[in-house]
Amino acid sequence: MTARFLAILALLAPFFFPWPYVVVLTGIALIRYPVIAFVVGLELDALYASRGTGALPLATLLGALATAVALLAHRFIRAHISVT
Amino acid sequence: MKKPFFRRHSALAESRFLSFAAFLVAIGIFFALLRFVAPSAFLTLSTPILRVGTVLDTQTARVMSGFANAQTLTAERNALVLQNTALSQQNQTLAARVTDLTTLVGTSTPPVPGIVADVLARPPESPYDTLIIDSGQRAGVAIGDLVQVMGGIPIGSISAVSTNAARVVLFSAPQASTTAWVGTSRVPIVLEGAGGGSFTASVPRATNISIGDGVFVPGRGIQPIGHVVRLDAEPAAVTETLRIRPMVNIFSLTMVEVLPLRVP
Repeated sequence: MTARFLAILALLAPFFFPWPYVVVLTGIALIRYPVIAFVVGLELDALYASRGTGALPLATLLGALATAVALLAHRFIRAHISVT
Repeated sequence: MKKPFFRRHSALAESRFLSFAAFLVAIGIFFALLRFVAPSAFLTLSTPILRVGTVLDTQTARVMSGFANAQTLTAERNALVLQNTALSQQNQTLAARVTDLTTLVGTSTPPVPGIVADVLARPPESPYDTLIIDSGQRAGVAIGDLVQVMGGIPIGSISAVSTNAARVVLFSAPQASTTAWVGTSRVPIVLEGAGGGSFTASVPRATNISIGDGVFVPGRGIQPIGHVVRLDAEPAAVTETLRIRPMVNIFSLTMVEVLPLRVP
């Protein structure tokens, strides 16, 4: 329940909080839901990116990277627990 | 055989986890589709939520200011009132001089009526140097229109517009470039956005630009946009890099004025 609340808070954060706080909230929600980083990155770019702010959607790419790392970490931890 | 409780519990938890994760992925795909297929619709849908955020921010600031030291606030207010009076008098003097010069020259450019808009989102909510304002096509805003702060200092241009909102890319956005002039001799430069409201520019070393020189951009006449705070140069390089601090604090913008390119 707490994890879901944090994930929803991370989804709403780009509308209310400065982006460093959004990153922190997303990082906490990432522990339980790795895909949240990619979704929040998409949301940040959808809200604030535009022509003239750069050729690459930086928030989306960094979010995808964070999601990939979190998924790998989850797999590693699960494999480690199942072995032990 | 009776299933152990923990296995049933983990199966249930697993399905709940996947369903919420699937919900998050669906939201992400929705954002992406809306952004690329119907960008103006996304701005329109986001505007009410951003407005709530702005109201919450204002109310919080009001509550927190009640905890500030009354003496400090009073002293700050008195200093600002004195500064405001001096600036108003200076403004009146300059306006009178402009009127005299206009009468002497015999012609003048009529001011273009601007569209005043509230800022719904600004840095650091925005990780890029962009603003979201609450005026859109219905108010007469179009892509490419110049945006300035109250007082006439240009800060950016409209990059996307919906019915009731628009997105502004500031001149200080990374990869944004703007023509400008620097110093009393009006050396032409190209301002490169450095993010966070600041700019850089490269000039030949022989131009003799000093720290404190003003930087100007075209607007209604020549508008000041910042001043030089640092000069960086490699010993063997033929150019030097100007670090420019803007006059406008983009982190505290509340209202802007949009100048239409096309005069009605």
